[in-house]
Amino acid sequence: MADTPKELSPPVTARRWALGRPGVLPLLGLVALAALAVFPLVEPPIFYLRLLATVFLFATLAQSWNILGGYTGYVSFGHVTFFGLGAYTAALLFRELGWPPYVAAVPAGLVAGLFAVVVGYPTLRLRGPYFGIATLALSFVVQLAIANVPWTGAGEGIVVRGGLPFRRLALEQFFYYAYLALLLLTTLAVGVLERSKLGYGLQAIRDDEDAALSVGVPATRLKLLAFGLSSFFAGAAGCFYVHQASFASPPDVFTLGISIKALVYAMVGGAGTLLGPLVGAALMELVNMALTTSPLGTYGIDRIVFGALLIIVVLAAPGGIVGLARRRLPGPWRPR
Amino acid sequence: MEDAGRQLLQTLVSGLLLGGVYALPAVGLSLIWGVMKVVNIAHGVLALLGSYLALTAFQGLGLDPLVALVAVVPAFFVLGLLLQRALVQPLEQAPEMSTLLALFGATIILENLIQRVWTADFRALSPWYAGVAVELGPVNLSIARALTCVLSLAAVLLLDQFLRRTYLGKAIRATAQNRAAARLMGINTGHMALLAFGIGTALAGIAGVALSLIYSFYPTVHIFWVVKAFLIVVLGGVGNIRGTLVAALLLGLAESLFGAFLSFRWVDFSVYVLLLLILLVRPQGLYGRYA
Repeated sequence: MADTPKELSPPVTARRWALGRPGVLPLLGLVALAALAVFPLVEPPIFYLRLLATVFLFATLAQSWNILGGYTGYVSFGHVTFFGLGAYTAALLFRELGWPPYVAAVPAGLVAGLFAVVVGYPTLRLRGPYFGIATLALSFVVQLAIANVPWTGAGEGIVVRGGLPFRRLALEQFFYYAYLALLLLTTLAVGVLERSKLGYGLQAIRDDEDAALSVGVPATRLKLLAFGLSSFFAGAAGCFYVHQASFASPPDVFTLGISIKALVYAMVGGAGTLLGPLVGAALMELVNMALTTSPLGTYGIDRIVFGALLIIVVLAAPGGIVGLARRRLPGPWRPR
Repeated sequence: MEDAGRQLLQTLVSGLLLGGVYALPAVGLSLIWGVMKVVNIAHGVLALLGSYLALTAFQGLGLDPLVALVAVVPAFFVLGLLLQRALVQPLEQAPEMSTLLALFGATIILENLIQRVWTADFRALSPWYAGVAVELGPVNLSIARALTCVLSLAAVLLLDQFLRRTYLGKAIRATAQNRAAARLMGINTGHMALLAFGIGTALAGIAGVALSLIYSFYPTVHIFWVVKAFLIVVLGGVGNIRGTLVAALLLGLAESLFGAFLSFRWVDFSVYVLLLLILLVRPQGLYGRYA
């Protein structure tokens, strides 16, 4: 089974051609980014602002999941733990000190990241599905703990209202830009990481951890760094989310659905690729919204169609959409 | 003092009964995971489909859920075969997590299908023996719980014997242990994988019927079932049927004991912390080697 090569490298001529000219995708990316940057200024309907903001939020979560799940090969089923911790840190900083989200984002990320390093020390020794189960159990433990401690508002939650001095449209614009900025920052970090010594170390761990160890990759330290970084961005996302939702409660910000979305979007797009989480999150969130608002939604079968589409995408592109594009698209269009 | 002893005994008995029921969804998952290295995330929703079918058989046809099993088991076996051929086998050579994604797609479809057909309301099944308990010496025994526990144990033991004593069972275990070697011994590993998925899905159907007798259910409850089953499988050692049974009984006992001695708000918390600790101290399961 293992002796059939999974991916044939493209012919040398094609590769040289692709390297010789700049790809089309970076250019398209810049155009898209510019369009996204000016979009809120034309005062579009709030529905679309919110929709795109949601896409950015889940793309950020998928991209941050990607650091550990995609590049390092440690598939987490509990990414929401760090999102929720960031959300609660921001909610408490607001309740106690009145900090607005743009100030609380860094401490929220730090709390999430540090917690990841602390729990990562024991859990990152587990491999494969065992690590997945451990992260899943951890997300339940943290949720239940917060739901039971009076200081964190227990089951009643914390109201986070009035952290920003904006009216309705400006508020929507603020969160749009905040999520977009966070997504850019996360993607930039992953892009740098991909080509750094740390990134190569992580990918070596993913491909064969024992072999990586034997050539001197400090696996434990690198994995902890990856887990911390991944969780930092999730925590920062949680901070903005809680101010947008103006409410923090354990079932809201620790819901398993968020962990699953981060994982599914990253893998549908292509885990371990820079563009994958963005493509996956955009495609799935937009399709989901289109289905929900379509006549299918009124018949209550939109989610059924969504599930079927997910299956079709997975069967057509098992390694993710970006992986498929790398194999099938002509040179200049090929994502790296 | 005598009261305390009696309460403890009651707690232990309830815990064992609960654990016996937990074993049922877990062994099916364990079998599929062991043979195909696939974490079947749809296992819970398949069980739930069994629950709803039992509900319809009971309300529409007046059939006792245990009688409904006669139809549920073969139907789910076939459903498992279809799922394996449609989603698992085509992705065998693909990156390992893609099967999980495809099965997640199936989970979404089934969950929403259930919601569409049976609505999102809480449902419960109440045949004549629901809520009836008999006094057995110092303890009260709920008939529904005792019945489901016996059903569960019977299914688990039958599976265990099948895997140990029959040629087919041994071939399935060989496939789980080492696919290439099994194939060299002349075993059709593709057929064994198919068979294991069918059996695992049939077990999910039985589990759903059993769970419907003691819990109320609603379309999204399956995720809790599947998570608990995952944890039990990991504790028991993937593919290890007896280990899974012991792990399920221990989990049932732990839940029951925590329930007796802790405030109800900390019961789930303590159960998950305990599972996490066991996982960290013995990642190879309670008594297995690494799968």
